[in-house]
Amino acid sequence: MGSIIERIKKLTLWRYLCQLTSTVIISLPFFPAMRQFCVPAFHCHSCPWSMFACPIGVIANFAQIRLFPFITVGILGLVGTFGGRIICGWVCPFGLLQDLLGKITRAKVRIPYVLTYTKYAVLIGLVLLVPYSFPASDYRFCRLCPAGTLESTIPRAFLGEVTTFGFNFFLRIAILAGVLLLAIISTRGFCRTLCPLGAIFSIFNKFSVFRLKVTHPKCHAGCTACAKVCPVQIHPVKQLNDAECIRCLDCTATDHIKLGTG
Amino acid sequence: MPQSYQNRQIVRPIILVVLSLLFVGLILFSALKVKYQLDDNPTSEPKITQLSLTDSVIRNEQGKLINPNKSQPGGGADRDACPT
Repeated sequence: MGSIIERIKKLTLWRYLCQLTSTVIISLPFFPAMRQFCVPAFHCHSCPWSMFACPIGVIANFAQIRLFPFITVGILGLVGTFGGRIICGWVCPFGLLQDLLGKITRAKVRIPYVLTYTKYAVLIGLVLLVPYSFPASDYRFCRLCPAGTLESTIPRAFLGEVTTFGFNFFLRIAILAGVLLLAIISTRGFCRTLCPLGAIFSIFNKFSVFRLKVTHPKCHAGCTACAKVCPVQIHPVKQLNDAECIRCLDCTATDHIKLGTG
Repeated sequence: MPQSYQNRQIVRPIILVVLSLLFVGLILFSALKVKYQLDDNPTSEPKITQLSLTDSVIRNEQGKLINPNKSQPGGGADRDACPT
């Protein structure tokens, strides 16, 4: 178990570096903003420093004006086809924040698997149906998004650009506080239960080009080595390439599971 | 090796190729063909994306796409993205 922990530490370090690099690229204005295009990661394009559009924001905006976002769907579909939820584990800035908050305490709440279906309801309801049916609604996803509150509402409030502090402002702050608390007491609670982008990528997890494979000839369901290290509380062998797997690859440290194309 | 497993091994690459072609096709289709009529001017999807982020594309009562911020610099594209 000791060598497994060492390997996971190395993997985690690489993962944090990768997430940090993508966060810097997405969030800092090295080039003129290219908000015509989205990056397949959950962030807020309303952030004063954001360079690219958020795919969920684009989908919601297109639903609002009743158009089909061909390019965004194409990009998300291609990324999902190749790696499933690998973006959740290795690229997403909001995932990095949750990973870091998760370090605060080791005691974790187990999220019932049935709650993971909520994110599909969020995707269909708040991202698609509400903007489509009620374009002026204050309760479409972007108006409630915790990433939007963190990256846009709060910085803009400090910059003096938010002038009304009504019910919706405090509702957004309450949602963000709830999500951050969830990140502390569980691992990737938001990604597993509420993230609409995670819901899209999870559809591809089972059959994507790169996916997990059990390689150890003696691997059996009774062994729980991989389940013990899985941050999203699934059994990587029994639930191989499950929709909740964020492809963090921690289970590959056990040498019984590998990422491959087969 | 069970027959069903072998069948799945054959079907999966086909599904992956078809899906990849479909998604690449969507991007190419948008880049080459798709033009939306915004204020009766043909406008590409990336431009619509950029304008939609600043609430600069809406549908009017007749269902036509219009830009309420047409008079602003960049047709509203230079505004801050959707103030939240």
